[in-house]
Amino acid sequence: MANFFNFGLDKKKNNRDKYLARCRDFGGIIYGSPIPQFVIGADHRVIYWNDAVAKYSGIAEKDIIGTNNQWKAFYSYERPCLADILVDRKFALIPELYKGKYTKSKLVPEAYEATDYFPQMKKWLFFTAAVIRDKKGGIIGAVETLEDITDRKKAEETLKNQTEKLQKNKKVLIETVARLGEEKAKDDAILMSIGDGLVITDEEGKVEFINGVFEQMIGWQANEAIGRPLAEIMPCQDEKGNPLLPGERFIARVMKGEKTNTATFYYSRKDGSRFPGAVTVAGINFKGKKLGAVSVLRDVSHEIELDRAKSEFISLASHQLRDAPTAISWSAEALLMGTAGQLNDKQKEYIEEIYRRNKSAIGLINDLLNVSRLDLGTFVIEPAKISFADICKGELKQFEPLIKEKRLEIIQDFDPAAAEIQADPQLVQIILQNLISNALYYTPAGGTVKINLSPGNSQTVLFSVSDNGYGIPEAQKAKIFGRMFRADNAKKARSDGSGLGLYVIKQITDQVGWKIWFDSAENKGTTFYLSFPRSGMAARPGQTKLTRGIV
Amino acid sequence: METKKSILIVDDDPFLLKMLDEILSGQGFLVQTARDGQEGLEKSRANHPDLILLDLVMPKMDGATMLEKLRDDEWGKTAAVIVLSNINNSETIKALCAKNARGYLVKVNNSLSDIAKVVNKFFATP
Repeated sequence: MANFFNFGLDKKKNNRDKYLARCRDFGGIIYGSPIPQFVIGADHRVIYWNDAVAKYSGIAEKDIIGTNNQWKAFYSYERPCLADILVDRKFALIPELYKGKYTKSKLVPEAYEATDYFPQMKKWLFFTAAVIRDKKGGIIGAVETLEDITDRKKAEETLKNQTEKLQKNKKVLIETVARLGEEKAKDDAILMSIGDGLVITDEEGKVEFINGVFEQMIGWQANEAIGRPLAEIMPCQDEKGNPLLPGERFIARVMKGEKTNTATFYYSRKDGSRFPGAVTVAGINFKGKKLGAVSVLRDVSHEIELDRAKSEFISLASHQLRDAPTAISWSAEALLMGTAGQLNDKQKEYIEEIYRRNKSAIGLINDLLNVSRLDLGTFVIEPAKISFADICKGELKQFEPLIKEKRLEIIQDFDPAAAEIQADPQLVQIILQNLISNALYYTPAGGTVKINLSPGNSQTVLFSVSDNGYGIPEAQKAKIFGRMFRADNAKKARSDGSGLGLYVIKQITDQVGWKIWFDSAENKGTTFYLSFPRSGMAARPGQTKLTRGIV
Repeated sequence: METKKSILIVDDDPFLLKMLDEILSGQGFLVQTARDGQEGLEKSRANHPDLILLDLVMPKMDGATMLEKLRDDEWGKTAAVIVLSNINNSETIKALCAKNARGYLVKVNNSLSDIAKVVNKFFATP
């Protein structure tokens, strides 16, 4: 290329037009090239300006040859083009003007390449400039070749954007996966370390997950259990020891659409031993579809053992605590009957006091034992046909001496429509005895106690005991059913009394599903109401029986 | 005059035993006593009393065991037994009912005359 130019430029002293024409003849290759190209001389004036560059720049050859306006093709202000810089050998300018956009050519010495966007043309150009030297090595000009890379650049840009977007999505994805992993690890850790045994089964009842406590509880490791039907690895029996069929198990029932279920069953471990477990099963639903069930299992051996020990203790205590008062009671009774000879008045008075005090001690013992049994929550309910009128009559007979002494008027009204009730006689006796004795104790001499039994509505029966006695102080009404609570005026009226009577009957009525409430005004009187269904009480098995308090 | 009805009282507490003996003998019954289930079982089988008043918590053999063994022999199968104890555990009571005990009295809740009444009522009922 240098030779080609040298041919013309050697004769630079010649006529400029002639020189140009000759150049043109020889530069035909440049002119015909589809690649935009131009050449400048050492004086920066344009020597060649091919058709392609003319087309790109919109500047015709005739308007630019011989001028140094080549910048107009690319820039909106006057500045050197890459070729201009090379001609002046001001290479230091390149990094300044084409910062980050240029590279020095590895093939051609003193040639530079750059890529830039030209807003005027709205084009991306890749341009190369190289120095042209004469035979002696003097710089005689520079050639600049342009390549329109707008399309490639656009494609690159799109690709870059897409890649960036993908990278961004990937980052979000990785973060999400990491977060989910963390969440899952957290969930797993929570499930694993839950204090109760936890097992998750799939829609077929096969084990999907078991936690550490469950592993210990049944003796199966997670890796052995997972994938096997739970019913197979952990057979279940009811409290009587009858095996539960697979379809009867809670998981199967929950999967069939029953609500969350809780109960105690006996489960077999891997080694065949059994343990009582309280289980709660809930279905896992997702978008209306049953995916499986989660069961929480708690070994209640200890609780059952504790309950048994407690009720055994109460049973034993009830026996031991009652033997001495029995002997006292029977001895006093025998003395009063004259078995050991006639008593004088003084002796009789003392023995009667022993008898009375012993009875109230027995009452307190029974109350305390009842409270213990109530706390255990396992007293038995054994309904039988009973008559409220008969029970009341019996209770009033017990208190005959007190009624006489206080000259109390007793008015009884029993509606025959509610004559017979199906209820536990012991429990009803405890309730009625407490209500009646309270009315008798806390009504001053000469007062009136009314006992009434009437049909409440078509479904219920209403029993009431009302007196015109001391009443319950307004401020203490809320506490009246409390354990060992006694109202101030009650303490004044009667020093003995455990404060357990109303507590016991409130517990009983709560457990049998009856209602008890009262109306009371201090120094006017109190009415206690007992409302219960005509069907009476439902039977319930239990460990112990409650005993009537005051004998 | 009818032959006296015989009652066997089985109780480990000698004082209570004596009181029950006194009141029931006083009412014209022929009373025998035993201090534990073993003795009670032997006396029951030997004398076939008309009624057995049976305590539960006793040494050697408790009342529930005695009742069970009593039911083993032909006479004992239908022997009349009223349990008289200070235990009122419902499981115990249920178990005794299953062995055909005629009644169940909690000592402390019954006076001597109450017990005598129950016994008289038992013999008065055909």
